[in-house]
Amino acid sequence: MIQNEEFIQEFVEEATVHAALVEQMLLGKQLLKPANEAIHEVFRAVHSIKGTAGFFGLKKIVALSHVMESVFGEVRNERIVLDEVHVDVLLAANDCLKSMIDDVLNSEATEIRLHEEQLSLILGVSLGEVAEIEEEVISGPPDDEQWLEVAAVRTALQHGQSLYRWTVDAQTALTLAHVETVANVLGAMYDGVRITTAGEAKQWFESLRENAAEYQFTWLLASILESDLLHVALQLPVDTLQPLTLKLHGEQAAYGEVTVGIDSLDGGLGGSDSVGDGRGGSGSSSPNRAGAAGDSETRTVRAEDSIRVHVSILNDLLNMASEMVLGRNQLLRTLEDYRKTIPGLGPILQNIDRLTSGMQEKVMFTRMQPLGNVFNKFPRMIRDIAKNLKKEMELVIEGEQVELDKSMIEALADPLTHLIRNAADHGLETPERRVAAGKGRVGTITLKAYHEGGYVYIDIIDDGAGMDSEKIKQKALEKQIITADEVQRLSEQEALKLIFRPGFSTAEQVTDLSGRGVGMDVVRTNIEKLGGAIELFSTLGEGSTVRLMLPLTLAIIQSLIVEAGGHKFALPQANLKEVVTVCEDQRKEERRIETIQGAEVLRLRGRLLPVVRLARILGIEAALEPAKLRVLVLKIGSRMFGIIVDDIHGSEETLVKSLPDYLKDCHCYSGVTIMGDGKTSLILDLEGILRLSELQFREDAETAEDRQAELAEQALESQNLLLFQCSGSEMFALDLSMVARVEEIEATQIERVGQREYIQFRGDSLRVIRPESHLSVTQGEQQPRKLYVIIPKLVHHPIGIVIHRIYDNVTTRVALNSEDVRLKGIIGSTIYNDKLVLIMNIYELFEQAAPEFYAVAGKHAKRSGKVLLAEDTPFFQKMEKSYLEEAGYQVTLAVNGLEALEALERETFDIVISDIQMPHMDGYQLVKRIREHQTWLNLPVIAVTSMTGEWHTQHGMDSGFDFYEAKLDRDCLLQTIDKAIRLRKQVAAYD
Amino acid sequence: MIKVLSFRVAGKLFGIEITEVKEINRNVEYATVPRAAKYIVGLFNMRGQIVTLFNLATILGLADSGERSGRVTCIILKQGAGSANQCGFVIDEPGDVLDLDYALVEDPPSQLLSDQSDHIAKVARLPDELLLIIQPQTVFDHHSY
Repeated sequence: MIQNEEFIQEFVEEATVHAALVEQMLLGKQLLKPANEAIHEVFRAVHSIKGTAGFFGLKKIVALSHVMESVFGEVRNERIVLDEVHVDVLLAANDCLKSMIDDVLNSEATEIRLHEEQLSLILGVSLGEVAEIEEEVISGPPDDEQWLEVAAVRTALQHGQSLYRWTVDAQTALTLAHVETVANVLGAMYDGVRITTAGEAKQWFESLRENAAEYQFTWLLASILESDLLHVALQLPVDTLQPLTLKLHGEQAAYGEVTVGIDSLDGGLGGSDSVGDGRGGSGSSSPNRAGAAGDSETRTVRAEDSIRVHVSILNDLLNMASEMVLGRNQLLRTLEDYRKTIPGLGPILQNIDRLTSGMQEKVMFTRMQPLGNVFNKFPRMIRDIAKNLKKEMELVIEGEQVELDKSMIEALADPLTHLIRNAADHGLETPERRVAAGKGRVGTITLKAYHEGGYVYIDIIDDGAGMDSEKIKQKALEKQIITADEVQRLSEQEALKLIFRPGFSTAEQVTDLSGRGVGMDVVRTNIEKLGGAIELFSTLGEGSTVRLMLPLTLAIIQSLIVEAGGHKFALPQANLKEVVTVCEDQRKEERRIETIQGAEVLRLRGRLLPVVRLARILGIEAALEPAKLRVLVLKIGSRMFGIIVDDIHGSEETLVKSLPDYLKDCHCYSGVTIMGDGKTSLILDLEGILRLSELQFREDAETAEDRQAELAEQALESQNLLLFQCSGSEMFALDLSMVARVEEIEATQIERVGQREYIQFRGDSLRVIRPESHLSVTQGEQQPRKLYVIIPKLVHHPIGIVIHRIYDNVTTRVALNSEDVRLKGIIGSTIYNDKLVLIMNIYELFEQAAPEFYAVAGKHAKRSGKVLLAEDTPFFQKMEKSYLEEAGYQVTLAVNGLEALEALERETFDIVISDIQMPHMDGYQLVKRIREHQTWLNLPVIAVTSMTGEWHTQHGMDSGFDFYEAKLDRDCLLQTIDKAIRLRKQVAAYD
Repeated sequence: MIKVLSFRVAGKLFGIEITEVKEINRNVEYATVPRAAKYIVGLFNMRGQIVTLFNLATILGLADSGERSGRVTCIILKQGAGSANQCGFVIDEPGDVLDLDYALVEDPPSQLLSDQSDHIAKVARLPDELLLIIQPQTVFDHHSY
């Protein structure tokens, strides 16, 4: 029975790995080919399961692995060539083995006879005549019995021991000491497994040594040790020990007892006939074993330079590491003032800072595991499904080395299984249909993992029939998931998304594999629980792709710290779409909070967004109705809603700690976190809040505008942004084209003159401003020693902008998603890497700080006139439109050349301002078309572009532009407009 | 002989076996939890571990003064390290650790308030006062309410 419960767990872990390896190898096709390297690995895996199981006395596991080993042995010796049927039998046996390993304590009760029978059938068939020889051996000449105790061999094999032949030439340098060593070791280690007694051996040896110098002795040893260890243990030269393989009799195995027969024993036991041990040998070489022991380079055997550590220890480490980060922050804050006064403190603090961050990162890494851990089980599944459905398919796996947090990997197993089943069952067609559609018989499912932008993506791609949106709509109607009226309005993409609805199943025949109708909505929920998202693409006739997007780790999430009723909460930023500020005196009709049937809604870009007040849901008192309401627009799956909070405190990387059980009843928190100041803060569970709010959603009520917004987002030009922070917590951004340079300065370099601040810059004094003093944003207390000054370009009266920290310099497609942050000096907000970023409007900022130079009204006479602005990038649209409108122009927007032409057809404009790079029709084409047109001949047209340079300018002028201006230079642009209008008027007058 | 840490809650004298106690924390700054049960005072960060603070007075049906200045003194119970369910309770003030002879300790009298009877393990008659020794297992098992 089980002898050592402490070690048994180790056996289970190890054996699980081995069994998995066997499965993996069986699924790979190389075993089907004769003479391949993989077989050695498989053989060794099974062998070591058998060996260890024998050590624990797990008889059934030993028995089954033994039979399997025998089969693999035969394959290795090229006596059997495996075919598909054999592989099925072996897989089934391996499954049985796996289940016994999983439930090791009850493994003795497992019925394995069927597998044994089937396996011995493989052996039986192939053995043929060999079996008869074995018969002879077992009932062989009586002198065999003298030294070969069959019962002892049987016991040895039942314990999973390997048999070795030890040949000693009396003439060699071997001394008696060796025999004694062997006898002692054998006696000590394998009491009861007596094959040849040591005493007898000694006697024989002694008596024969004298007069029979040319004699050879052969012992049969049984040991659990592998051959490479055995000779070390016994201190024998390697070449005197030869492993033996033993065969099993098929018909006897049927009795459930492992009976061994000894066949030619890889070249014969009686390697020499001199001691009268009988049988003539059939050669003494046994090269076959070498492969089993030696080849480790053949496949991706995971190198054993790792150790097993219990997860609880890693979790503790992770906790302590994050605690240490907090400690470091406090330390740095406390000692900041003493950096100067205590010599040498600076470098020490810096070092601790660096080490702590490094350590935290490494600890996080310890929890990372390759996705291969979960991908590995799919080849088997695909094989089974293919058999089951009579389809032909293959699975291509890419990126199994991509790593994710352990907890995430575990949680992914079910959703992935489901998606792959779906792809195989619903996605891929039968071979006949594939051929009819002009495709290859064999369908391909690709499982691909890769990193992108701080996320891990997993694509499940099939080259099957694709999804028929009409069929899906039909089905949705039948199942009453959607009304006929709604169906009309659905786009193709929206129709596909219907499969994520509860109770949806489109397979025409419900199979036992998938299509039970509990599928995709559960998958979606599970993925979203992990903080991820799921997307779906499909082309009819060509296949479908399901894309999972997952954060790297569960333990740390980016959160927005929000306040309601004096409590601070962390809100996971993954679901945050935008932040909308609603002012009391909001003049714009399109954005305000209204009440419809007792429920509050926010009118946002023409659609109604249900909103809830966080304080009300949590039953706390909100701050007195402020002049500004902050609404966080959130999206969970297809449900969009807003949460009203009292205040926003910027975003933090929060370490998620599990919620105490005592608070589970609140139903509105998903965890707890410790913030930078050491205080605890609850992480809001948005799903829970949604449930508590009892908001009613018409699922998936996405409107046409949403789709357009999404399309617009995809078509965005990328922009270079400088991300930075001032003393407060907000993240700001400036378009790099407006930045001349960034200077690092000491805080002491700033000099004050009255209310204003100046620095020395290139021999001149340069006025600097602090954005937080001029914008309605948070102001921090701390006054770091080092500051940065942004020197802007494209302005006439340079003013430096003092910032505290440069965060990053990124190229990104900006989805400028707001007309909402109505702060003076801010163009709008965008989300970058889950952070809310405010994009600065330098002109407005400078107007606040230095109205004498920057106020439009002061500098330029109020203008009038109609401007057509052709510009595809929302950011620039907004920027330029705001300059122009402030200057008094009436602006009409066109997002490309074609639209601009249409607008020109409709009404008359005083001037056209056009971007160069636009979709559909670019600026060059646009101006050519305008010039071709008789009535627009004298229409002033100005190019405003980020593509500057002589060639571009020349090309632009040749095309017919009047002027060619850099984007974002407001004053220049306004002056140029004046000039262009004046010039064209003169030209027209001459005409 | 048992060792009991005495403390006062809502003015009354209680005790807890010292083997159940991890530590006493003073000046604890805690965060209240909206929507939590009324017997939960809040959460605090004890060296990186989240501790749930209970209101013993509410649990025992005593009149709670309800006045807390944001910083409290509390007793933290022993619990497996790394457990998500570290807990403690707020007290008025800690008292002495008493060595109580078994002779002094009795089962709780039947006339105890029903709110209390489950949560009081033993009663000790001190010279001038009655000491109620709480039973942490039932007090802080959140399922028992």
